Amino acid sequence: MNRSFPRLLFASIGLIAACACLSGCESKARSSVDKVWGIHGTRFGWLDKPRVAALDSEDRLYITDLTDRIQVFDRDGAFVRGWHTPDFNVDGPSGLTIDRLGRLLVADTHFYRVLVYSREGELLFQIGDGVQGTTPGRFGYPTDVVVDKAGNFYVSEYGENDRIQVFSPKGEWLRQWGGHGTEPGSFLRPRAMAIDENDHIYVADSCNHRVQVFDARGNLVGMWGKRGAAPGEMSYPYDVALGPNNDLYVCEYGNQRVQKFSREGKSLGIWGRPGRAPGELNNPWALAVDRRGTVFVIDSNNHRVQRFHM
Amino acid sequence: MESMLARTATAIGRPWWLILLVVCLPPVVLMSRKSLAGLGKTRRAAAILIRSAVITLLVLALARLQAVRISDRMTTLFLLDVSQSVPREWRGPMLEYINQAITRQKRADDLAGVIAFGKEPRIEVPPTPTFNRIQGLETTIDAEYTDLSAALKQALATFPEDTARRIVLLSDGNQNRGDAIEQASAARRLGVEIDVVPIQYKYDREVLVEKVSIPPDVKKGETVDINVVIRAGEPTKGTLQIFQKADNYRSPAPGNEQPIPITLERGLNVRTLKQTITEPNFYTFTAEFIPEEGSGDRRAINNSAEGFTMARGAAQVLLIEGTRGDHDDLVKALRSKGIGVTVMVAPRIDGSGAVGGDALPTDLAQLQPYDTVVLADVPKDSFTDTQQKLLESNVHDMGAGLVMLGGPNSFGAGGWKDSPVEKALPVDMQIKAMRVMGKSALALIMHASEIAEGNYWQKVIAQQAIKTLSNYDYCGLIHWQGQEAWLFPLREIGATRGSMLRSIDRMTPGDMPDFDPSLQMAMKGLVVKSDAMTKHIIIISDGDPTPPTPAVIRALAASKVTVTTVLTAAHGNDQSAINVMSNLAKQTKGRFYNVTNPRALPRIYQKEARIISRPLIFERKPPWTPNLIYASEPLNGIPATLPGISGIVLTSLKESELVEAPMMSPLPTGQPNPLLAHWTYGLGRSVAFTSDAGRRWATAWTSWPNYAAFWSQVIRWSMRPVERGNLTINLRRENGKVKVVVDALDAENQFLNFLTMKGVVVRPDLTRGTVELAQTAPGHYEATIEGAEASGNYFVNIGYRGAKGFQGVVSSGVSVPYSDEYRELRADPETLGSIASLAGGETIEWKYRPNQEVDYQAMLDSRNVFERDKNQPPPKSYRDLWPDLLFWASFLFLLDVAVRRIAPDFDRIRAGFVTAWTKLRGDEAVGREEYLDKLKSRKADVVERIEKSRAATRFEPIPRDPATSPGESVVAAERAREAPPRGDSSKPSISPGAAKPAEPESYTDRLLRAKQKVWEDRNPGKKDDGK
Repeated sequence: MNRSFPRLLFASIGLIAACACLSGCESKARSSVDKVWGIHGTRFGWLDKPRVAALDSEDRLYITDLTDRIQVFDRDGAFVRGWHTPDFNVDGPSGLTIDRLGRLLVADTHFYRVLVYSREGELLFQIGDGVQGTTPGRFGYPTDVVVDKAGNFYVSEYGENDRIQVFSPKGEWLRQWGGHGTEPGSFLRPRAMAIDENDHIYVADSCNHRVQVFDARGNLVGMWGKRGAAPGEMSYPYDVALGPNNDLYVCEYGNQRVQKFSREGKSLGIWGRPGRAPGELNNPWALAVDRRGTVFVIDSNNHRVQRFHM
Repeated sequence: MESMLARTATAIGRPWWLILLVVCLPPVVLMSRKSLAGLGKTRRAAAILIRSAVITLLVLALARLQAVRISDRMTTLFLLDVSQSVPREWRGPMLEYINQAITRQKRADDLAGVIAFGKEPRIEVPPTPTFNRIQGLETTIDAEYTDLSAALKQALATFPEDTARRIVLLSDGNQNRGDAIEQASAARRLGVEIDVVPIQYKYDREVLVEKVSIPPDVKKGETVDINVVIRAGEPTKGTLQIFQKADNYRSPAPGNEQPIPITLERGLNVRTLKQTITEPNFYTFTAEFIPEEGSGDRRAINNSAEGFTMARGAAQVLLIEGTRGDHDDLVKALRSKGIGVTVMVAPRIDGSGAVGGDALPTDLAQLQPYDTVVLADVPKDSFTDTQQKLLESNVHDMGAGLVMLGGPNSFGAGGWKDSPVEKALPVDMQIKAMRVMGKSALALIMHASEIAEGNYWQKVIAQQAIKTLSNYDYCGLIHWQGQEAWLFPLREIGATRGSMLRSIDRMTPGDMPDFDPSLQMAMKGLVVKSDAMTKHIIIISDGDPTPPTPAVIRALAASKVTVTTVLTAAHGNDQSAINVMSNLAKQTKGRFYNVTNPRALPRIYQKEARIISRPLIFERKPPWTPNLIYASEPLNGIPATLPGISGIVLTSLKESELVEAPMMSPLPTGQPNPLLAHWTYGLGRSVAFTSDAGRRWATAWTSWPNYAAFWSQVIRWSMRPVERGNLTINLRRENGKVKVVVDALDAENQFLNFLTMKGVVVRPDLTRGTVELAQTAPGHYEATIEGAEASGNYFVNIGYRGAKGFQGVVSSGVSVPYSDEYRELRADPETLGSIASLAGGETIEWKYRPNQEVDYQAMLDSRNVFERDKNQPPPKSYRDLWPDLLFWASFLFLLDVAVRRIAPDFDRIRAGFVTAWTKLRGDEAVGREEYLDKLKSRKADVVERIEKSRAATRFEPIPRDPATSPGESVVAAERAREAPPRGDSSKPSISPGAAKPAEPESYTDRLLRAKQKVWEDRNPGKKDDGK
């Protein structure tokens, strides 16, 4: 018997198996999802165009939507509690962060201020006087807040002055950087931020379709991305979150997908495509990642949350 | 959990295809046995098996194999009647019953939903397994009517497919639209049960003012009887007062300044008030009954009713103009000829809606005092859609006149194209063939705005803009779909208007993050339209996308692209958004609208499109003389020479034999340009004069001696005809219908028989229906108008025609003071009972504890609304399996090929396993030695073959076919070497190893062949066998 035949046989079967698996596996890789939840509506427990999310240490998901309220869900989507922000408008807050002290920081975008809540919904204090402005200490449209190891607040905003302002733990204005523009270090709508253990701040510079990385003093230490749909490219990155293994997850509003990057900007994977089925996204605004790398993506125009691994 | 409640099975949709199995399988197996005989036993069996499997899968796919899911789940939809007839205090217990039933009776996998209904149903909670308690209703429902059938229909359409279905109807059973019984039978046919929870109430002591009856037409100075009909459930005391309304001013009717105390008997009571009509006008009389305290009357809304009457006087004209004082000459001229003129100024449009101006009529009643309406250079956007319909209906149905005068804001230039008013006029606003004077190009940029119903408004405004533009204009629309994209690119509207409007219907603009890319895209599209005189962008946004960069704004200004910005104030008074949007408009010479009222949006877009689309105005200096073609009826006695005009709005005559165009303009040449046209439209008449009344284009006309005569004749011609004959019309409304009765007598009080009587009814929402009266007795004609449930005014206008040209119009109206919901004095459990028994459900009665509280537990105990009816077959859902079958068939087909083409070496596989096993056991040495032995023997083998090959090449070069060229011979030789050794090789016997592919061609071979080639070239004729 010819000795090359067994090899051929195994190769062929392997190939067929690989093909079969690829067609199945690929669609699985693109759309496999742990859990999808959310009913469209304005009752508590329902979602009306949710736009931002944050996870606390007990894996509770804090979500705000267009109805100016903050709702807390467990990781399976069961409603836990909820409350309204002090003033009502047709748009809700667009930034949420659970800081190192377990407080909930809310960028109350259309009221030009940052609200600091306890996790139970007690309003502790606010940053900014609620008057729209471009002077130090006032905000255009604040989009996100992060806190560094020293407890300083970094607030991103857009409008007439796209910048990041830094406040002391007591809320005093310290410094700012950025500006409206396309050059490195400037922003067009910095939509979200994430801060790592070295106090490096990753900024989703959405209308420039890039991620910029700054140190705590505002020095640009890294930048990647351009508009496009290929891996490594982005279209309107609206949210960034740090996951385990030094991964950075980017929620792309324009491409309607989630892209995973190394902290150096190497694309490590893509999840999601436009649509309404599970595993498909319709203008997603935000995401949150837990310690195990489970991603909760806020599928805004589908009024739901999708949970997956990538 | 789900698996507990669901079972799966399979079913075959088209079983006769299975015959193919019997037909195909045996021959395939038989044939394969022969053709695959060379494969060996095992492989042949495998191949046949796989092949049969492929065929079986294909046949199963053709036979439509389906997976059937049999489910035990139940979906219960609660239908909640929130109409006015259900007393408010019942709302709480109804919601509580729903909450209790769902929390206590629903199994985890069952679905529950709630639909609230009145006039139409709204899904309050869609069928869902996770249910949160309902505290109150979130949807807005028109509670003025009850349509049980629509609610049932909605419920039937809302059920998911694969569960058992039940409806629980909570209602008082009173319905005033649709037929619930019919829907109940439909539900039965679909296997849906309907349980009913009847709400019980009885208003024994209610007082209703049923109607105010007044003669429809009175003469100036006449005293009329105003009859008020009041129904009382019990003898009741109270006061009655009558109010009179004319010209939007309401006051107590003269002689009734103080409420009159009255005592009502049980049943119908009539009170009469005499009233003298002093001035010609349209009067509305309202009667209000105020019951004595403690009377037991529960509803105030049904304690008043109104009626109206018309007192006619001299001819009256309503002239509506855009700018105050623009038509003073005309007004003066008309008044000099004894025509009464009321002048109103139309409002102008900005972000908060219509601003300034007078209060234009908003219903037909307000138009009744006027015999003709003159629209004097006012644009369409000054009128609401309802007002436009009103103007048309006033001519068509009420027989009044309509005159439109030209000007820069009139006809097509005023955006009147495709409006109801255009329908009423003798000219069309669109020109069929025209030398285009100035095209415009409009790019619409839509940003999903977060105002209420933002998507709806976006569609409305985009469609309004496109409808307003002319066929020659360019239009394109950019929206956001993950990135900025043309919904349709800039193109001439022409015949594609319909497809543009349709694609807008399907548009769902997303939330645009920044302005720059869309503006650049629009600019790029606009600048290439070189024949467009105006290039314009309208951008709508809530102002929160990233502002445009200065470079883009500069580029727009440099390309002469104007940008109008429409800020929908989604975020309140947001100064930054206002700055961004107003700066963009200012720097590009566009306009900025801060919209505080979404209803202003369509009119803003109409106005914007109208301003840029100006190909329909023709102006020229010096003035030219229009032609009087012939003297039609309104032009009797007008001399043939007309003064000059310096401008007209281009229109085209309607193609109808009713249209007359006695005045035409010779300019612009190449097309007919009507200057004066008139026709009869419905019951009324309308006139179009395409130049103006003397302020701008027809300046010479005001000093023309015939100016006043001309205009008064034209206006008088258009007026409502004066009623003749001795006909009385009576309208009576009962049970949601209006009965029309006409008694016709001639001047000698003889019955007028065999008249044709046809007319129209105009409902409160301005929809109209036709009425045809039938003669039922001498001089007595009747008709019934169905569907008169809505509250408001109903106008009926009847045209009659008899022998010898006897004809005319009679009109009347009836007022429905309040919805029939307020007439219901008791619940109707019988209807509910029939619904339940028709649809196989049960009646769930309200149960009470001794302390009069509702005993929900007892109600739940009496009926489990989540229990599946054991007599009904369990619901099944089907899923076609053919895609899976085809996938596996193609996979097996590949496997079939593999089995036939690939022969596995079982010895070697076995050896491989053995080696692996030994390795696993850690006994590697033996394996290694065996392997070394194999290597050694292989090496010896190879050495031997090389030696033999050398010997062979030295004495036995490769035999060569003389016909092939030297190059081919090399290839052939290599092929020969690659081919497996054959027993019948034509080559001289050499060692089998000599032909093994492992050996490269040796240097000697190549030399030898080169030598042969030289020999061949020298002696081409000679044959050389190479030996």
